[in-house]
Amino acid sequence: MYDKLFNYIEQYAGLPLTETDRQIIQEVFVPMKLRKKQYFLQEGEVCKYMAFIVKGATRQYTVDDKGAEHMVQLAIENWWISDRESFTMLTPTIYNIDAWEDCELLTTTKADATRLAHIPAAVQALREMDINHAIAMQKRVSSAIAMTAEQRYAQLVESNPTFLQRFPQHMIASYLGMTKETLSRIRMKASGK
Amino acid sequence: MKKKISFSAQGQRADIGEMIIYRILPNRYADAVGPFVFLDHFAPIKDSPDQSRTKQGTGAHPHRGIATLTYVLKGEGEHFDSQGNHAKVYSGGIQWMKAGNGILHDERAIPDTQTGDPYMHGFQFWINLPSQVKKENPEYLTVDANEVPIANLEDNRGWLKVIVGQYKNLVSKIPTYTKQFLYHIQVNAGKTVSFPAEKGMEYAIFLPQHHATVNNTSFHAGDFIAFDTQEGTIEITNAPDTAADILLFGGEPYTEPIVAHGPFVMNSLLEIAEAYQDFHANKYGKINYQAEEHKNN
Repeated sequence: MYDKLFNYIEQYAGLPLTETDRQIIQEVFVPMKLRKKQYFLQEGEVCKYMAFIVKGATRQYTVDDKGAEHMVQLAIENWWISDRESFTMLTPTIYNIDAWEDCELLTTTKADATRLAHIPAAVQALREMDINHAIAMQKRVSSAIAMTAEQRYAQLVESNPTFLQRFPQHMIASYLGMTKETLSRIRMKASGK
Repeated sequence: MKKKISFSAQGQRADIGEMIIYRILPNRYADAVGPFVFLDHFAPIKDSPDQSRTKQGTGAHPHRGIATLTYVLKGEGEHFDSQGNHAKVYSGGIQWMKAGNGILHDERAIPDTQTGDPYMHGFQFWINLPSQVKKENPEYLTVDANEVPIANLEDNRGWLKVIVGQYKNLVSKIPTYTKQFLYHIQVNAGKTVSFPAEKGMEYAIFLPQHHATVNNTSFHAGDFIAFDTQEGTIEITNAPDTAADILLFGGEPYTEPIVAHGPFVMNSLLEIAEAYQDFHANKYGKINYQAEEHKNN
């Protein structure tokens, strides 16, 4: 179960993990299983855990006054889930995170994660991860405010094509900030080419 | 001799809901000025009925290792905490909360119901505590606008309010644990004010809304200006058009290690880990909003 996380850290850091490092990581990260639709985090709670997805798929979303869900983030294997703001600042979260597929996760808390500061590869991997996270967020913001629906869809096909197989249309549409009908029209047009 | 300016910077946007907030400190050049480790500027905002988030704030959250200080220029701030404190301050007032070994608090802001002014404008500072004070129990204090000591600057140059620390014989009610000061200075149009700076003390200026000339260099509204620690004077010259508000703050350097994560400022990473652990173990207590509201009504 931990191999995926070890690989992830070594690859991101470009540094090997020692046996002691691996031992510490196994103490810092605790396995958690979620069944489909089970919550990892619910609006109003303080986000206690940050998790690495070993297997499965999750979604992070807000729910508006009319009960509509707005997908903020979709995640699959090798992705991290948490509400970073609530996790760090300990303020109540505005998000829900739940499993869209049965999940195997490796979770850590803010307190336990401080032990990673002594593992050079983990420090480097977390730094790289932060950079990639910021870049992905920036892309998502700029596509949301400046791209057409077609462009947003094309960008998703290019960057995360597996999402289209793992999540249903209405979730993809919400993730891209468009209606199900618009997405369906764009997909028809794209496949007709 | 005039003090050397070591750098100046504009704040980063760090909004909460509808509030427009500029994170002035820490910034890319400085982690602290004296004991001050954090400054958010809540830019002036006019309340409108659809902006309900302004009333909600961030929600309850803990602090440890610092004192938070909210200085309300305009508006009405409401405070709740897990020690059973519930209070309101109005325009010109100050709330001080020594988090010490840990407290949960919640703050809300609405337009001032006493003046009817629709604008809200204020500051939040975090003041670092010496390691032994970080272990002490929390305390809370409000200082109403009329309790803030004020000095008129001679020759009709303006006035100075002592928010924290001492200015001449005027002393703020806010407790201090090291030598420190926070002054709100209003410089009248076209006037110059000058302050001697002590060697070894750290000084900074923030210009919330007006441009001004500081030690012969002109700065814009929103600028944060830091100085070297040599002896010298700080001279502020205002433009001829209107009175300018200035925050001058600092103190003796904080010499212990500073490790800051989220709402905690401690002396080691281990203490940060404990602070998070204790939160999830419910060691900061609980806020009982209804009981507090009832008690005050």
